[in-house]
Amino acid sequence: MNEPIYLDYAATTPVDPLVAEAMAGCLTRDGCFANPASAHRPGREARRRVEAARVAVAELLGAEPREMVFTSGATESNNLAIAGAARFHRRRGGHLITSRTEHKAVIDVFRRLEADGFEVSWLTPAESGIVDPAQVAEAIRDDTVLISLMHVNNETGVIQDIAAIAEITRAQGVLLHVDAAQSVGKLPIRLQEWPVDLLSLSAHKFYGPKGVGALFLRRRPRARVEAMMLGGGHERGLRSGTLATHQIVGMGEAARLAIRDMGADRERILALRGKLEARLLAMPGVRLNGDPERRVAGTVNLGFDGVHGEALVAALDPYLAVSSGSACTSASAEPSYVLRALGRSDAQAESSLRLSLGRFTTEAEVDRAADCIEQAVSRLRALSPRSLGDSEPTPLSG
Amino acid sequence: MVESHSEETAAHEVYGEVCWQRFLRPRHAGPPPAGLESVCGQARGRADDSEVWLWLSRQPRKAWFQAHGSPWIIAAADLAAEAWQAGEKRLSAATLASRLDAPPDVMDAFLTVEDAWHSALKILD
Repeated sequence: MNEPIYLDYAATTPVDPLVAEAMAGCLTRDGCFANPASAHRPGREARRRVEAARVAVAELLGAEPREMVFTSGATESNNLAIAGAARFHRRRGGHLITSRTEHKAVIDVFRRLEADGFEVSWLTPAESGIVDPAQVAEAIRDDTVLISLMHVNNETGVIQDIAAIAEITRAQGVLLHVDAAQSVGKLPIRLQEWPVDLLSLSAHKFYGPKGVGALFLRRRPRARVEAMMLGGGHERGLRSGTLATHQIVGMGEAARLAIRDMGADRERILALRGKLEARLLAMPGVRLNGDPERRVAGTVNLGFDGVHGEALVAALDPYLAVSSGSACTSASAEPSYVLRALGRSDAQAESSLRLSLGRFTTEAEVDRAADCIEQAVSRLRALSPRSLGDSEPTPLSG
Repeated sequence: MVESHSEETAAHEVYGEVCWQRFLRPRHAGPPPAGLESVCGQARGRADDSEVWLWLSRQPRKAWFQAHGSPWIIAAADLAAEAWQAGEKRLSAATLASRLDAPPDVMDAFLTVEDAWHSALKILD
């Protein structure tokens, strides 16, 4: 059987061949394998490559290299930023703000902080998925210490107005953390202009390796967090543990490629997404989840009325690698909490698909994917007793 | 959100070959052709977000189904229609599960089809 067409770049991206090449140079005996913390010459060379990567990642964000702390990925960065900042500033106040459509790596940290005695305000975005900056301003209290919002939503691709929100938080003296796992390498990020205090990223979302990421911590004014990983004092004491040279070098190379190619990639991907979207939205009973305009280039989330979610995912499985609006097991399905928060019913959430395109997506793949989805949806609708406009069960007459 | 089905077990392995083939190519998808509907025992089964409609006719001995649900329920409904056409008069959820080699945690799908079968027979009688 042929490999399925990969349309799940929002979940992860393949490592760019140039990134893999740079990483390979840091692994074996004939390469730069030494511990970057060692004082000897091979160690110093490893350190030099790590610092070059730090410069590249900082440049991608418009930050200073010394504002970057390497981590194992955005999940760790989110934990360090949110729990670390909340705990460091505990005496200042115990009120935190986030939204209901954040990634689990943020939501679960806030839930833990709630259990530890912090009070959390959960903002509900509009049906478009957008958090109005005025909502943020209204939610801020005297004892608010931290707000965490994602730049781009992982399910819908909706872009938040981080620049406007950051102006509000800075004026109020509240720390702002941004989970930018879905935007780094896809959208320009201007930390020299946006008064964001903390920002998380993962390399594997922009053609780097899995298992490495970074946290931006602003130096002026200084964003301070309580370290969570202790021992050795690496990364200025904020994240102990031997630096993974090959991973960091890979992320640096991925950052360099993103700086070089982001604009062209975005234009090309946007055109492909437009083609895919136009074909699928032309079908009856197909709706776009999330704001139609303020979205990252590669992502489209569509709901298919009159189709059962599990059946749709199964029907597409041999042909496409995509994400669904539910976490299906053989016995039950958990509808997407993000789509539920945007006002979708359980049935609508479950019969939604996230299609995400990337650097290596071709026009032929987009055409074939649209064919597959059209055929699967038409076939399942023909099998279903429910009318197209009604995803709910047919009423019982007695 | 499930974040890449390509990293999981392939669907035909999750559902098993018998279920998978019936899900892909059901032989008794309905509704019945115009004219035959009036001689059918027609009933439905419902559970949670799933729903199945079954039409059974004695003369000619035919059956059709429509289903909104997982591949299990679609395959089971198709199998039930086939069982009727083959002359079977009794059909249980356990029989359907066994013929589809299904795990116990998807029994609801088969109970739904069993419900529809019994109701349709009752109407037919």
